[in-house]
Amino acid sequence: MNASVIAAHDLQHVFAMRTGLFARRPLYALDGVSLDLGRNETIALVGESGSGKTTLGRLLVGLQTPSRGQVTYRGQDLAALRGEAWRAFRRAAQVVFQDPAASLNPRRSVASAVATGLEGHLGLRGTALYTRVDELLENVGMPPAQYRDRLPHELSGGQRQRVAIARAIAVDPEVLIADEPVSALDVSVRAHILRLLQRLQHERGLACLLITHDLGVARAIADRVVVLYLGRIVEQGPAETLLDRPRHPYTRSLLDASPRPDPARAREPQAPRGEIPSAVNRPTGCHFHPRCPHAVDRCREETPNLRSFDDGRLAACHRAEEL
Amino acid sequence: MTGLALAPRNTLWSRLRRRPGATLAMAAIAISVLVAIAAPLLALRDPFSGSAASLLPPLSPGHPLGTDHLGRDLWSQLVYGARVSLAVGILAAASAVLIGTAIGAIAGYVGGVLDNALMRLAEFFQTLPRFVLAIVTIAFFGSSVLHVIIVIAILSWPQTARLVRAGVITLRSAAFVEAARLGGKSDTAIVVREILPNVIAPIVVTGSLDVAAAILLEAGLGFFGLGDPNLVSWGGMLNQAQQYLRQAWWMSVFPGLAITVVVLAFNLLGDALNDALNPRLRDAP
Amino acid sequence: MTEPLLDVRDLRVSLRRSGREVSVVDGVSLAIAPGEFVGLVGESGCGKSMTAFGLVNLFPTPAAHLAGGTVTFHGGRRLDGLPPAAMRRIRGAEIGMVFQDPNTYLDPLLPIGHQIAEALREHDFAGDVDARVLELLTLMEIPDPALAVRRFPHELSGGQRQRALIAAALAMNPKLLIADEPTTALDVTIQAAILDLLRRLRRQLGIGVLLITHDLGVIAETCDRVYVMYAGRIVESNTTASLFATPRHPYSQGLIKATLRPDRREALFSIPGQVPSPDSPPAGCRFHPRCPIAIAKCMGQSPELVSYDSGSVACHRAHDPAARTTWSASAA
Repeated sequence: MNASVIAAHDLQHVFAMRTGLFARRPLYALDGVSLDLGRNETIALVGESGSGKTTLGRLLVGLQTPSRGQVTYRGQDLAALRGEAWRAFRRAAQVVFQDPAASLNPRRSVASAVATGLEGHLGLRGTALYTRVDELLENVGMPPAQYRDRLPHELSGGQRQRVAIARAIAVDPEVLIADEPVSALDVSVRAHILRLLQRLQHERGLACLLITHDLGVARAIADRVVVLYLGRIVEQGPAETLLDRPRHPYTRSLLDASPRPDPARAREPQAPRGEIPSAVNRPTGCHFHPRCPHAVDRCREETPNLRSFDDGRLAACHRAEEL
Repeated sequence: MTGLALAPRNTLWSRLRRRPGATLAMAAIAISVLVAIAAPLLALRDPFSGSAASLLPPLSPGHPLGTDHLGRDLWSQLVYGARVSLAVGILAAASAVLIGTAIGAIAGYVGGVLDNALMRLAEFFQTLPRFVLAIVTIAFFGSSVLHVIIVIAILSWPQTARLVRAGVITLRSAAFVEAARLGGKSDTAIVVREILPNVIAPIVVTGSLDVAAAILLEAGLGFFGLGDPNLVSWGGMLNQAQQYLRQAWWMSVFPGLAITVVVLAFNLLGDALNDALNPRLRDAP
Repeated sequence: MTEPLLDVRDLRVSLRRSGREVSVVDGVSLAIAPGEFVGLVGESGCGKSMTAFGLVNLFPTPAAHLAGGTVTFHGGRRLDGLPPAAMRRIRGAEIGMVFQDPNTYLDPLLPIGHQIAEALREHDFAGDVDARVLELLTLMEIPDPALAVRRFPHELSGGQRQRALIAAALAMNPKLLIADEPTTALDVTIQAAILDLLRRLRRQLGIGVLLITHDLGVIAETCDRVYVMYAGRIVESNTTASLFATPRHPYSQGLIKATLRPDRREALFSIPGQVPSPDSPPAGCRFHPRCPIAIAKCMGQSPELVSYDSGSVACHRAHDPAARTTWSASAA
């Protein structure tokens, strides 16, 4: 694998959560997360809502600053980047947001959305700008003559997401964070968008972080999968082995819960127990123990560390070997 | 849900046209603006030149709306008065909207201490009794159209500022604003080009209501004799009509009617714009 | 076959737009037997939700209205054309409804126990209302039902809110539950739990369920029988097992092939094109512009829904062996 383009080192992110009229308690959105993302690599970040997926994505592109720990871009701490260096990073790390309808300005045309970074980062104007916008639209499969002047509400969900992708890749980024890029789309359109992301990633050698709650999406395009639970990584490893033979009971329960188009499948109906607790009230020890069918006393008392296994995987479970 | 394509053309104009009140209001405003512009052509004589023919009733030969106590032609005064009323109304409202938008956008986008300070300032101006302050200012600085415009603008901006601030606060963390930030856009560009176009609706609505309020305030000042003595205004005409209410009803009725129609028209337009710009009502029949 | 719980024939729903009638549901027929779990699947914009609204004649927009067809419910009662007051009595009492976003349907200012009780009082529930509310919350597996009664919607998780909404829908012991994308807004784990709950309720209470979803995975895990809908029409129906084993309609085949699964890495597949706007549906078979095996007949003539074995399909080429593997050649 290549050297990492962007990396998280022991990130912690804490919000002050209002729990009463005057009471405030810390909410650990992320706690001790380390991750590195290399050139030409796609990592799928999976977990339930409230697991910290989106926060991690925002910290990695500098839309938020971590409470502790650091994010490095090509080895440099983001917090130390100033002026030109910061602008270079801003250009290098782009995001495709979850809801394509919300990520496009309702009053601005397709062309001006795609032009955003070209104007802002590259300072393109006039003909050079128009030519580049048209090329990009062509590249994401939207004939420019037909779509250039449309407004977002005149497009379908899939088309809006294409525009958002064109905007993100316009400035030739090195890192692309895609936050649930297909969850708002119909099944028959999903593959279009995922294939587009895949193609662009290969063409440009992008480092791609795909945030998704859908293990099917992760399976389809990720090289590695990182599973997040209540702000901690519970398991990570190559997509194939992790999804075929999960080591962490949480990964297993996510897999069991994922529907698949196979009526003959015998599902264990008791698989996931209860719901993800609030990050304000994290359980002691292993955060997953109240929902875990295999929890023992040790899980309630001692927080498991992320340990590496010989198949290239990391898992944070006391009983990973036995199960 | 059902992803229905939008109707072919659903512009603001076509939505406004569908409301009879709005069409009427726009027609009334258009006519009064035309009258104001063409005043020298429409006036039958100099609005200031008196004659011996004082207090002629309407439909007198040469004086369709009659004359006042000094024998001046009421029609000509009314036509020239439209200039002052509309100029004051539109310029004061435009200044209020500009000041309010700038202050509201800065307060909403920057936030923190500056936001707090600016909003307290807005509250201060909102709690001042408008009419009293206007009278005091005119009494101090003398009465001119410019002073009237400035006073009205200073008193009217806080409302726009609050609306803009609220809109900017909801939009400053919107996904499309973050996308613009990642696209390397400056804060100014983000506010002006990404955020403000999306809060234009409430600005336009309050703007048109501001025009109505400003015209009314100007007329009120004129009525109390605080208008610009060198210009004819509808308020000023009413002021002089006071003493002749019994003898010459036409002296008060015509300027009063003009004020009513124009103020009502701007209010109606404001309401119609509010409905037409409201996306929740947009597709209502 | 026993007498169906719900028998819908040739249902039509139109939208009035810019003075024009636009047909969004165009002759849908479907039946649900007592205690049967039936799925209705299709992409967004194909008329699934409008079909559900049409069944109970309750539309989210005044522009939509029934434009034809018959709806016969339990005991041979016709629901179409029923006066609003009579329809209201059936809705909620005999037919329960659950929608995608629980937040829209729960009043944020009232405790959930109160809101479920309201559903009971509205239909003049004869027994002890409080006891029934408690019973329902227990049935929904909401933890600490006695405490949950007094909770406000914002104090519950998304999954629990959806459970509360199902409790309200089932308050009067309906014979039919219509669930429109009930788990789309939820996490997979919560989705699995809600689907488990629906399956269990069906077994325990013997209610019929109509589940509307765009997700074939959800269908596969819950339904006995499936209707596949495209552009306002039913294009195929069958038992779930047969539909997934041998889908006949190219659209059904495409949907199944496009569904991503976590247990296998498959080539990414998508059906080319998009659902046509109801303003201008294609002539003939509405799927023909997206269909790789369309022939001249498909463009001119609308295929009828024809029965075979356990199911029925509306495709001119359904009996052509080539139509069994419509998408295999195209890597699209």
